[in-house]
Amino acid sequence: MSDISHTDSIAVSLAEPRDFIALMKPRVMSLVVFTALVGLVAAPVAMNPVLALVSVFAIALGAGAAGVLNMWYDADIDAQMRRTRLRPIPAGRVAPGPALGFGLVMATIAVVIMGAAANYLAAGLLAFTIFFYMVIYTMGLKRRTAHNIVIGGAAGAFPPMIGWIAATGSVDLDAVLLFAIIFLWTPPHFWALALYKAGDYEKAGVPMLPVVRGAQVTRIQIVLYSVLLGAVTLMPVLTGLGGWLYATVGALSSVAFILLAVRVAFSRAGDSGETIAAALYDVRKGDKAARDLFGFSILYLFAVFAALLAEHGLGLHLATPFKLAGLGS
Amino acid sequence: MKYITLTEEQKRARTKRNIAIGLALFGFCALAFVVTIIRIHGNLNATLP
Repeated sequence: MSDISHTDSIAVSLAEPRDFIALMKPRVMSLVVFTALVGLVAAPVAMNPVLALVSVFAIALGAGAAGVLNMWYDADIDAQMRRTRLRPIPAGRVAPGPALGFGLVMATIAVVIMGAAANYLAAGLLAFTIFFYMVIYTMGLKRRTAHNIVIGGAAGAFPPMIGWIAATGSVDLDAVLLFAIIFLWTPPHFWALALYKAGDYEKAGVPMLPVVRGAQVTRIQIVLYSVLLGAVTLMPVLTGLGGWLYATVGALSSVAFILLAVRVAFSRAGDSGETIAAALYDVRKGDKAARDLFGFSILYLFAVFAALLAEHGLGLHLATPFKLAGLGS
Repeated sequence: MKYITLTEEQKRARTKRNIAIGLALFGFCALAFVVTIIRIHGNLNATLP
């Protein structure tokens, strides 16, 4: 029956499955899946491959649910930023109510699947991660403090730890190091973006560091976090989690990261006012250093985790003499 | 009572949503079944002498 009995003021949904998939932030999901997979593969306990796949799927679903809930809550500020105004809710393709329901159902299913396929600790941490991203970061920090991304970055850092716990059932030092790498990577990554998109964030009322404390403070903070990131990235070599391949990739990419961060510090990125309005990612000439760092930061995280995946998934792990006795799994 | 008639575009969108929900439900049931079988198999192997 094609008629529905209701008043004609009702809005009939034109939302298609692809709109709901867009709500899940597929690009963010792909990075989450990748890092979770690395955590699972690098863990010293072998898991049934089907259950491992299901666990990674549950993490992906959980990440998608967090993305949906974030888009539901942030629809008002998404509508004001060029980068996000075409998302399904501000564009009017999906109503907020169905989006909220979709996110909550997905989150529940993700946690249940994780509990069934792996263990309750992994399921509990997955539930906490979704809660942290939605309530602590999106509702609590994002619109209130310039440190939003520093603390909120924990949500994106949990997936490899969840993958590790899914396999081992416990939290180990190596799992904490995988968490710490992403946690320290997040601020310079997002601040580089915020430096050349500060106008957008300011307009939407999001207190990103360049908006609240200025571009110069942000550029200095980027360098400090980059140095910390480089140091923590090399720590898995000391625990024995990372072998020669990881040590080489980690060291070279960390040096490149720090050099690009220093280049940002000496640039004028984020100094002048409005960004170019014509295009989504057009940036001013002075912002090139920040844009380069932002682009490289994605490559950095991929390279570092891919090295671990190759070592533990393809048997390329060659122990270095730098491992400290008593550390690691 | 007033009625509205769905346009072709609205009908297409509804059909696509219905198919997606059906597939998702089927996928969830299949996943629950596979996970249960593997866990039971693992537990049996662990308890059998």
